[in-house]
Amino acid sequence: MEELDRSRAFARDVKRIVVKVGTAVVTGKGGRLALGRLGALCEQLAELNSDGFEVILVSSGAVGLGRQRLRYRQLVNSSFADLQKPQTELDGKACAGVGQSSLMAYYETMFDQLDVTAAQLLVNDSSFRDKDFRKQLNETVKSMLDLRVIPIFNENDAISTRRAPYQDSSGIFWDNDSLAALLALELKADLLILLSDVEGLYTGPPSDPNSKLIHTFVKEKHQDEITFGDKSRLGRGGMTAKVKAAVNAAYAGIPVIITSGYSAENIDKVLRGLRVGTLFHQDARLWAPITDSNARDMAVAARESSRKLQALSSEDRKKILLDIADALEANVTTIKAENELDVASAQEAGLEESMVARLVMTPGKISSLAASVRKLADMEDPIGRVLKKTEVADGLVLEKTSSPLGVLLIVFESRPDALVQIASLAIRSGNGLLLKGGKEARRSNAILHKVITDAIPETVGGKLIGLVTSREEIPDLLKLDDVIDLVIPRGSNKLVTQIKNTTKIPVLGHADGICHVYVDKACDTDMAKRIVSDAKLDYPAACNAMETLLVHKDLEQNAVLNELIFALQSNGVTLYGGPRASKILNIPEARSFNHEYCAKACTVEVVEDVYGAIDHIHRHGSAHTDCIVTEDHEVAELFLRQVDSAAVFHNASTRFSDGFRFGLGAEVGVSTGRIHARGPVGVEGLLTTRWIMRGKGQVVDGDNGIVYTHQDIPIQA
Amino acid sequence: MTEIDRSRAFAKDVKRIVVKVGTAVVTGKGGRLALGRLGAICEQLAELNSDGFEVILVSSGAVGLGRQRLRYRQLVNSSFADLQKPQMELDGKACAGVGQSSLMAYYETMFDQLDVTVAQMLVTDSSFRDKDFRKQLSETVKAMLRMRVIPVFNENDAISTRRAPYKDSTGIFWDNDSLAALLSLELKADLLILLSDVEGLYTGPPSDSTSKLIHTFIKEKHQDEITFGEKSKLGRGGMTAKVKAAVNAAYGGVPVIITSGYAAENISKVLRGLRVGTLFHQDAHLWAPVVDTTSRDMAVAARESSRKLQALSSEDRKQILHDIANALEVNEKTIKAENDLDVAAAQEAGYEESLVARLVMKPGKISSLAASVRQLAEMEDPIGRVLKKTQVADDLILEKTSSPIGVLLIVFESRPDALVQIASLAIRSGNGLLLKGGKEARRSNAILHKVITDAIPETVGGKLIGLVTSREEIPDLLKLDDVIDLVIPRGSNKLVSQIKNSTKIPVLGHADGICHVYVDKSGKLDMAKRIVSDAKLDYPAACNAMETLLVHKDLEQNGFLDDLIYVLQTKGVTLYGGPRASAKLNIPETKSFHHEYSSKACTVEIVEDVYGAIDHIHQHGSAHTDCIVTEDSEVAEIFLRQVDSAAVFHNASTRFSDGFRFGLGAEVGISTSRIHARGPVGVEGLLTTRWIMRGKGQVVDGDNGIVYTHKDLPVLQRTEAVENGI
Repeated sequence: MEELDRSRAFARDVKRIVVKVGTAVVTGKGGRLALGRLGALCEQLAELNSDGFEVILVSSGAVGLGRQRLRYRQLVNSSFADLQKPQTELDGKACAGVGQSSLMAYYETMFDQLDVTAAQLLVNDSSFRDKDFRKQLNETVKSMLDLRVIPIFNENDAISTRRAPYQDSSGIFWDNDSLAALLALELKADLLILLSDVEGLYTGPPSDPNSKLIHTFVKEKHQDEITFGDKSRLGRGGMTAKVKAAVNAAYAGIPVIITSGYSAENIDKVLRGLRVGTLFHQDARLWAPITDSNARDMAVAARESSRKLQALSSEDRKKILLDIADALEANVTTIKAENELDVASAQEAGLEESMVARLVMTPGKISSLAASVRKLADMEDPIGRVLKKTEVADGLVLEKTSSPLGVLLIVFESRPDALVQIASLAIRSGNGLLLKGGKEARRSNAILHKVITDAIPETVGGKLIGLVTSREEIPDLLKLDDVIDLVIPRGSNKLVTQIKNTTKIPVLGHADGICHVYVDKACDTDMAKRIVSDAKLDYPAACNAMETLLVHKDLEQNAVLNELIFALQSNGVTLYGGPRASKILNIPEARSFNHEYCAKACTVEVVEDVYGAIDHIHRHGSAHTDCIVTEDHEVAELFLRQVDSAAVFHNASTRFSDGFRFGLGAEVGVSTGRIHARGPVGVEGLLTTRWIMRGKGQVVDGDNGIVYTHQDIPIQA
Repeated sequence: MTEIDRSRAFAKDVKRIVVKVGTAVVTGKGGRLALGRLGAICEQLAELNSDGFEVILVSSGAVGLGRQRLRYRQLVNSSFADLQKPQMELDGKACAGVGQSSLMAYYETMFDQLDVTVAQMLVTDSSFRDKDFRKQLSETVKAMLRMRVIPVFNENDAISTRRAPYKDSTGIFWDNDSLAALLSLELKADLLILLSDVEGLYTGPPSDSTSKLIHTFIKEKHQDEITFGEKSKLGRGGMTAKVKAAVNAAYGGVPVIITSGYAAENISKVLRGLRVGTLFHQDAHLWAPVVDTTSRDMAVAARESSRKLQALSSEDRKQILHDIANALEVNEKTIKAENDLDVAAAQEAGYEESLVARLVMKPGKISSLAASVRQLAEMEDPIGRVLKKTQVADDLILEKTSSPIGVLLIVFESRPDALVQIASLAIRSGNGLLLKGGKEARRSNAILHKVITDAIPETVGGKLIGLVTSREEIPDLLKLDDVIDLVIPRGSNKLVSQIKNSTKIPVLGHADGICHVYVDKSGKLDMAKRIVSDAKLDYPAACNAMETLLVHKDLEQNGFLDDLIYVLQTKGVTLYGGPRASAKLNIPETKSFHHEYSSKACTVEIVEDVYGAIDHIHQHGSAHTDCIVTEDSEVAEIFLRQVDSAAVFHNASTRFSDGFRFGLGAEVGISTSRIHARGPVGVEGLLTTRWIMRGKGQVVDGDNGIVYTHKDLPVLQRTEAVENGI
């Protein structure tokens, strides 16, 4: 899920770029040029050049490269006697001179292949003190850029009079990072990119697994947090120097990105506004809250609170829900005010009317939400129920009990009422919760979250429910499989599919709802018409709506099929046929049986018998809800037993497949997964089990001296 | 999990390599040299050169490159008037000449940077007809290789007398792929690598999602299967030419790999014997069965059979298990013979004694396996049980019932008896099954699989249980999340972790077992000693063994703690302490509280009280099994209610946490996952649920005209249901 990052929006206005490539990127094994990497970089720069960008390159690497070449030359020129002496230290300036010519020859060769002209500009620190020099430099570079030449800068180390430059941090610039920053300022670049051997700035050494990449550097926050590691082996600057240079440039108005030079596409990604590397920007502190709780911390805190909630008595947990219901009603004015702001923003942004409608929270809706929370409170406590009881041996009793799952992540689209429903279910089932809602409902979600968490007593803590408001993307949340136990997406099929494909955390959801109604030869015609109409038309967009009608072949002759078709068509349903039905009924042939219309349309097909219907459902269905209409009980039982779907109905509309209609209280969603919870999911779907054993000191001792009775004990309600 | 592939074992003897790069690899956008890609390839070749390999490079790309440069030159030299005329077709030979000098200049520059000398070798088809030429060429190349020079070959297109060479397939070679193959044979190379713009040879066009990479080309099998797509835009040969060249070289005794040139590491991977690209080898037909069923096909077939199994009556399913038990006993001799072969092979290969011990199927083992299968058959049928029954509205009845999950993948290490246990459980629960066992038990697994599947009637089909014997790696199996519903790893913690980290299919298993015993201040001393000893020593390597002993701080004073310590130490248990315990007891401090010893060793720590113990367990445990020893019922209930683990015991050893001891029949494994099944897992863990609704024509109709009663109805036990005639 590549997405334009808000903090990188400036990238679309960038035209003039300074790219600085570090020694560790320029050189590879044994100090030689990294030909592959540099070749790819040159290709990228040439492409930017031809796309109209003005590219300026600052290249490190000369000293390292020169040292390698001189060492080789020294070896070749040595006598056998010389080899016995200790190696003399090579002169840095000689290395710089040798390396520079080699490096520049390389760039010339590469850019020539790419039909780009390169220019070498070797500058000294002292030159920049001269105002005339700076002015002339500006004009020269401008001329080059006008001619689409790529200027390549380096410090003129070979002739510099500075003493051991890498130890001398006086002067206007002291290494190539600061040179790049200086050039960016002098030449009024729109962006400076520093290519390093790591992905960006980390909170600690990149090799430390606890160390995290900082996407946007906020001076007030990060300056004191960062632990700098060693600089890369061959260069002078290292990360400390890069940060210093980046901060200087950023606060003078030029954004800086530090990212990896090992992947040349990173330059392109930066310019497309994607979130790569670390951004330094003078307005960074305005974008993100300085105290930014991350999702991992939220999840850990939610689990802590969940355990405290679990430790409360059933009455105390019930009271929390009642307090929440009261708080919702007490704060109806505030909630409504925040919601109206969201609605106004949505209308101003030109969002679809149906989406705005889902966003609206009327006072009546808040009251009905409070009512449903109270109803949930009155349910029998689902936590700690004994599901199975066994006498394992004399005096040794084993119970299987229900218990909370842990921490849930709910990703829901912009329906604020979903937040209340989900939070209530989580509390009833004793789970911790992370909520990630759509941005359109931002204010509504925030106020509801506050009202609910304020109603949670200190003994549990409001952190039980975390509202993820940071700019952390959903894919980042989905990587937290060590602290999140279940993901529940509430939204479009596309959302569910995307989430399922990007996480190892179990997902409770379904990607599609292709439900079938099979009308058998022994059906009651009126019943069949009633069920088929309801299954399709009660709410066509719902996942439990009928998408395919299967009809026994015997009904072709006696007009039942025609009556069913008429009942649908006269209510405005567009029909598509399978191969057989499209011929008989003269309707267009469906492109695929695996189609969810979500509209007043469906597929019709004629099948041989109940077995044919079952085969069809297994091949083309989504294992959601399927229904048979028949008066033949044997055929009905056959269908009920063999159809491998989460819900299978006899003589009832598929539209009953819903948590409320099943009597589950509020609904978490409908799951067609086979693991854990299937079909409409209520509170029970948010629970798992624990085995509890009570003994009198029994030990296994290799199973000697113990007689296993393995007797089931009845469970008292 | 990179692993040397059996079919690539020859790679370790390779010294002389011919590498051919195709036009699509050499050139990039707009026909220019792909500088990054070629640079990386040069680096790789230089490294091989310095590692002692003898490297010969055959490079395409000259014509394409030359065309691009000439087109540019033509444009520069054109007058405005010329631009109005249609572009003349550029002469191929001129392009070849221009491109060749540019290409060779590039190689010279790159290899010079890498301190490697290159030599340009331009050959023509007609030259190879001359026996003396071939001999001289061989000697010249040998001399170069001795001096660590890399010869760079190309066809001498610019001066060739052949008419439009790209249309002329007469002669000894007709393009650079066949030139590379010819050179491999002439120069007696050990390996030919053809670098292309795709990963290798596919069964259809690589852009087709159903097209699969062929890892090893078997002429008898693949020649007729393959659909060739368009050749790459700039080159002459394309994949057809590569295959032809590869087959010629392979049957001339030189193995060939076709792989992608877009990742230079592929050359290194090939030489390390990893499975990359497509291998052509003259012995390929001897290595793999010509009819090779894929795991995906197996999984789909298993689901079909599972649905048939589900459709049978309970009695019929029971009969299948009895038939399997009988078949095991009837075939005992055959099974033992195959097992003996596996054991002998393992001993010869020098495997650890403990692994060999697990491999052995002792006399009596098969009988006891048969007995456990019969016991499973006598269990109450777990499929179709009504778990919950609700009257939704008048005459509208809803039931929640148990049903099979679908298709399971069991990855198990080399214990043949596990195969029988798992297969039986799968049949009892109505699931389809894919089995991936350790290679050491290959023969035992195969015979057991055959005996079991032969006992499955035609109405269900032996495909219910698939034994994955192809050389498909486990990571490939774990990608089949659309046809496999659950993965159950049986093996080491490392295996479980690896599997969990590389699949989206739900995994039932646990990566570690760090179990605690907390002895409270009101614990009884004798009971505590007995439980602690058993939890640690009954079977220290088991996942339910105690790894950490927590003791209430009040027991520090009265000699109680010392007694516990003494009991453990006298039985050879090495103790490590937490900060408090190590100071108090003068024992070494543990590096981490989160440590599974799996041996006669454990950690001891002193905690404030039951709440301190609970916090410790939550922070450092693995949510497996934890135990409290106390006579205080209130404290016990606090511990039982609050400890967030799959199994929590009061006054009982952690070692009871086991499927058999729980009365679950055979055991699938122990799960510390929170989803689906937790703790010891038996048949019930292989089941999911379905909702069944029976009505009389009720419709939703916007919830008008229907009165929801939502009344829970009693769930009758199976026998009661039969008696009442339901």
